[in-house]
Amino acid sequence: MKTSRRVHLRQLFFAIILIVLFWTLVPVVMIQKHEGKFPVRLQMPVVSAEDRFPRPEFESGYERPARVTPAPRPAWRDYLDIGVLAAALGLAAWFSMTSRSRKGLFLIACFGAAYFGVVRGGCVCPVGSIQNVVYALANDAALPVYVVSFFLLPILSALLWGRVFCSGVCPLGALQEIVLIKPLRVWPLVDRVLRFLPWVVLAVVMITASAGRFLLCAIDPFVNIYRLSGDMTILIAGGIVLLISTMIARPYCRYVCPYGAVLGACARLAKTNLAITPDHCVRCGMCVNACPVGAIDSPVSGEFTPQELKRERIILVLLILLLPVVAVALSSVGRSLSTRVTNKNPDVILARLLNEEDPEAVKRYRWDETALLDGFRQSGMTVEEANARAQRVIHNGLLMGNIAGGGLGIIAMLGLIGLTLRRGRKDYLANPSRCIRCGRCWQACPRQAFVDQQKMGSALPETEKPLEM
Amino acid sequence: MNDESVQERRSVLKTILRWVGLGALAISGGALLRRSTAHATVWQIDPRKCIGCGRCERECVLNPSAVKCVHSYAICGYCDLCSGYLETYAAKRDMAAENQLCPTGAIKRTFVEDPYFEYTIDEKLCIACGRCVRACEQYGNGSLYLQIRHDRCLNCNRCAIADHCPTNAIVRVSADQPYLLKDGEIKPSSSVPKKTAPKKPAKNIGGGL
Repeated sequence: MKTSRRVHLRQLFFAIILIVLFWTLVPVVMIQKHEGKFPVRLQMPVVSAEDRFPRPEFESGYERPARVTPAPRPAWRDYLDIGVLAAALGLAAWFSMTSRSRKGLFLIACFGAAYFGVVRGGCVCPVGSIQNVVYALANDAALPVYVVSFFLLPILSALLWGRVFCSGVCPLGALQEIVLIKPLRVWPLVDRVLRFLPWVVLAVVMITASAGRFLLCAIDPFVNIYRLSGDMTILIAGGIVLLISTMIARPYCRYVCPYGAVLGACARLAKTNLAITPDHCVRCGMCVNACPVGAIDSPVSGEFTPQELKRERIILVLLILLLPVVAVALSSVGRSLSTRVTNKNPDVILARLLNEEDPEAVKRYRWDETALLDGFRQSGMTVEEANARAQRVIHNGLLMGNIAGGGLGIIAMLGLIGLTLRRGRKDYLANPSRCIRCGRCWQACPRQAFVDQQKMGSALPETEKPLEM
Repeated sequence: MNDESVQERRSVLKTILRWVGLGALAISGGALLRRSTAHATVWQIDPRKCIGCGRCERECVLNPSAVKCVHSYAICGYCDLCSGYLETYAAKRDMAAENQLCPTGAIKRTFVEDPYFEYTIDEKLCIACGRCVRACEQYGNGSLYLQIRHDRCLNCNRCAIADHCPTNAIVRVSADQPYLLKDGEIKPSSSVPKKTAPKKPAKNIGGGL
C-alpha cells in the first residue's frame, strides 16, 4: 500500500515536471510563427471635419460658456471599498472559524449584497477582475490598484482561511445564499461532472478577455438584478437562476464561477479549515445532510483489494501518460477558440480590411464594415498602428489559447488522477475546496464537534465531554 | 501502515505548498501592483473614432443612455444655418419643432449677435441618438460630439455600448482625465490645431473592447 502510493507520487511529479517544461516551450514557438503577419499596403487620407467655418470673433462681449465635465466616482471610494472588502473577509473568517456564528455569516451575506451589490453597483467584482488582469497583462493596458486589490485579497484570504469570500462577501454568492430555502442534494455523479465546468469557464473567459471581450460579465446573471437595468434576457435569466437557487444551493458558485474554482484550489492549502473534532463527533451524519453544497465527505475505506489495486495502477499510469496528450489537444482547442474570437475582433477585421487581405473578414463583422473604415479614417490612426494592434490581438489570443487550453487539460487530468488515488478517512471531513462557509453544518451538529478543539476545548461545558462509545 | 506518519507527511507537504502559494501570491501580487496605476479607469468615447451611429442610445444599460451630446463652443462656428440644429429640408430657420433635427428638442438656439447663434444642449433631454453629431461632422465644424457623462455612467466592467460600438471608439481612460475632449483649450479666432485636439492618454488607449 505504502510503496504503491510512493510510486504514484513519483510518477505524478515526473509527469508534472515534463508538462511544465513543455508549456514553457510551446508559447515561444507560437509567438515566432506569427510575427510579421500584416504587410502595409494601403494609405488612408486623414479627413477632418474641423475648420469648415471660421471661429467667430464676437463684438458684443459674448463669452463662450465653460465646459461642464461631471467628475467620475472619486478615488477615495475605491480605496474605501478595498478596506471594506478586507474587513468583510476578516469578519467572515472570524465568524466561520472562531465564533462559529451562522447568524453572523448571514448578516455578512446581507451586507455583501447590500454594499457590494446595490450600493457599489457590482463593478469591479473580484470574479470579474480575472478578466481585467488578463486583459491588462495581454494588452499592456492600465490596471488600477483597486482592481488588483479586489483580485488578490480574496485569493489571499483563501490561502489563509479557505473560501470565506464565497460565504457572503461576494455579492453574487450572497444573493444565492439569502434566497436558499430548501437545499436539495444534487446527484453525486452529476455534481462531480458539473463541478468541473468552472475550469472550462475560466479557460474560455481568459481567452476572450485577452481579446478584450469580457464574457464573464456578459453571462453574469445577478449584476442586472442589483442595478435593475440592462439586458432584459440576462435579467430574466438571473431571476430564473435565483429561483433555482432556492432549491439547489448556489448553482452559479458551484457550476459556473471560475473565481470560486481558483479560490477552492487555494483553500486546499489553507492553514485553518473547517475542522470536525473526531473526539466529539458521534458520526450521526447530520452535518452531511445539512451541507447544501455537499462539501462534507463521509468516512470511506482507503484499502484496495489486490485486483482493485492492480486495476487502479493501470488506470493511473494510463492517465499520467494521457496527461500531456490531453493538454496538447486542449491547447489546440484553445488556439482555435482564440482564432474564432480574434476573427471577430474589430481591430483584426480593420487590419484585414485595410490590407485587402481577406474579403471574408467583412462578412464576419457584426456591423457595417464601412463604419469601421469611417471610424479609422476619422481617427487619424496610421495603417501601421492598426496593423500593430491587430497583430497584438492575434498574438495574445494564441498565447492565451495555449495557456488556458493546456492548463485546462492539466487540471482535468489531475482531477481524474485524484480520483484514482483513494485516501481513507475515518472521520467526517469538510472539503476545503467545496466548503463555502454558510454555517449550516455546525448549526445542525448536535455535539458541537465543529468548535475548534484547541481554542474552545477547555471552554466546553462539562456535559459536552466526548461520549464514551 | 503507519497512519500518523502519513498524516504528518501530508500536513508538512501542505504547509510547504501553502508557503509556496503565499510566496507566489506575494511575488505576482507585487508585480501586478507595481505595474498598476493609482487611478481607476473609466469608459470614454474617443471622438476621433466615433461616427455617431446612435447605438449608444439603445445599447447602454441605462435608459436614457449615459452618453450625451456635448458641444465644444471653441470649435463651433455659431452658424445661423446650423446643420446640427436644423432639419436638412427645414422650411424656415427657426425654433419650430418641425424644423429641428433633434428628436427631443434638446438643443437650444439663442441669438448672440448678427449673424451668430449660440447652441446649447439640455442634457436632460439628450438621448444620444447622434443625429446632430453626424450632421455637424458632415456639414459643420464637428463641434457636437458624443461623450460618456460620468455623473451617469455606472462604469460597468463590460460596457454594453463598447461591446456594440462598430468603430471600437469606446476606450478605457484614466479617471483623472475622464473626458476625451475635442477642444484642448479655447482658441477663439484661430483654428484649433490637430494636436491639441483630443489628448491621447498614455497607456489606456489599448482598444476599448
